[in-house]
Amino acid sequence: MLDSLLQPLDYGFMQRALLAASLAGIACAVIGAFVVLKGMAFMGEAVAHSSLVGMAVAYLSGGNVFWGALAWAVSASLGITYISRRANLRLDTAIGIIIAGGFALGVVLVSQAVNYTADLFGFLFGNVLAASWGEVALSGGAALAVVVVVFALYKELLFAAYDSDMAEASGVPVRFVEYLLPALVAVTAVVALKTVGIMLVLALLVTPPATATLLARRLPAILALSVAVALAAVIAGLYLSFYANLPTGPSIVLVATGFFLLAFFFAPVKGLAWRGMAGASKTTGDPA
Amino acid sequence: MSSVNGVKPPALQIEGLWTGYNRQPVLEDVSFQVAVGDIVGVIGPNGSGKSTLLKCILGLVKPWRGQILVLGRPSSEQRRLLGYMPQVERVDWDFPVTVGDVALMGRAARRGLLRRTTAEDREAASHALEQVGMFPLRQRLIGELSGGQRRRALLARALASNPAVVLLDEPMAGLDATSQHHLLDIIGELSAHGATVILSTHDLSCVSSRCRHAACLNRRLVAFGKPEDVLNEQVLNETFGTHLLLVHGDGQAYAYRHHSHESDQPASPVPAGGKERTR
Repeated sequence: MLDSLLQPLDYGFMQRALLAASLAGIACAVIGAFVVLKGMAFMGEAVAHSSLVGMAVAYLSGGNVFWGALAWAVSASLGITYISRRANLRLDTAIGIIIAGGFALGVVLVSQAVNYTADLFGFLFGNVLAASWGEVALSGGAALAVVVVVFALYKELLFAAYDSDMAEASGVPVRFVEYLLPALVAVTAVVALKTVGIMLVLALLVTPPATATLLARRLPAILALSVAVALAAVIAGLYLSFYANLPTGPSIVLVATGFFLLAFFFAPVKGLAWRGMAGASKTTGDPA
Repeated sequence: MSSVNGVKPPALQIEGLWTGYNRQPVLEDVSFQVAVGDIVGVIGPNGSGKSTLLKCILGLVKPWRGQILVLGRPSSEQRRLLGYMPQVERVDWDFPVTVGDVALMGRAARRGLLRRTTAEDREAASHALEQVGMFPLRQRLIGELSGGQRRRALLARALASNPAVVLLDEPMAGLDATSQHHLLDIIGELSAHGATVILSTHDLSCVSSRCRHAACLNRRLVAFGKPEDVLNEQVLNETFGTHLLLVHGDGQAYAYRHHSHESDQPASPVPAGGKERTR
């Protein structure tokens, strides 16, 4: 048993993959808690999809794909926030335009490369087993930065997310937070691109925090549990991928989804299984 | 403090206030003064600018013209002296925070950015919870509270910074009579301890029985004065327009809701003016 856990670690690529995926998982779990609470999942999807443009441009011009994706994703997040504030557009409309437009442009750009299909596939679904130490360091640094910012500004993020009017009246720079949170989501999404790819970033952002909200009551506990679920999913998913010879990103996401389903049905208080039974005898509606 | 000739400045002084959204005026040339320790009920129909007036005092909505002084100084410099309770619908009740967490948020204005929570903050938050009778429920999630408890949790947050002026947006809406009276008792105590309270409401009986002054608002200030002086048929008709129909019965004016935008309750008689109705 122990052997089968340790043996993969003999490979350098597995060490790098575990480290990169764990750091991405932690950052996603922390910022994802706010994404779930604020209903910003669509924003995460948008910045991930549109980052393909930045990746493609960097790739074609021989630059670093990470920085290309980061620059584009952060710009997209700020752009979406600005558009939705200024123009009288609903946020989901603004995001929809940026998702589709950015993704189409990205595919067109990538199609100019020689290894079109192979490269595109890597961008879309991640290839963490191919991560270099340089890539691990870059995404690890960005992940750390996100976590540090969230903890430093925890009080402000919490207050602004819960009640922005009152927060603004209390002197919390709500305008700033309104742009900061999407920007942090963008950085986090880019950190996770190598691990799960553009198509599955949303799963790492949303599934572990959603699982945690079913199991814990207060936000600090939700944050801690979300990190634990993400780490468990990332590590178990990597081992699953290693032994069953499955694609890494999807394996991680499937394990995370499994955790969510377990919590959804069997969470101590909020589990559907118990609710169904309680519902038969009395209604369990929230108090008015 | 700008106390001229030793005279204390009023708690709130609004002069020629104009504001609105997207160039549409919501408040037109509103002026009134509130003395320290007063309880003022702002009444008016939906869309009359009650919430906007409170938000303008808080600085959430910028005035187009006119000025707002809190204890003699521009309200923008006096944010720390203001406590605010938003309408309950404006708050996300599914948010995973406890009553204690919410009360502690009320300290943010005093703490400032990047400061850690201190023992003093915790004490003040606990004291505010005790003031509203919510201390025993401090570990509860806000989503688990009843309507009256939710209101008191928000009030605790407004009080946690020991505000000199407390602004309450529709504190009575949707509460049963017992919870309303509980809340009004707390408000009375606040005023007795020197705080100034300004609340918006649809409930004329609450204004006539518990507020010392009434501000009748419908974009412009229709009337401001003691409830018994201003809550008469002429003023109320002018304030509510077609929304209310006044009927005289047993020497008292009753206000019937013609049609309600929120369909929260069917047309029900609300006693208006004069003495409190015996229950």
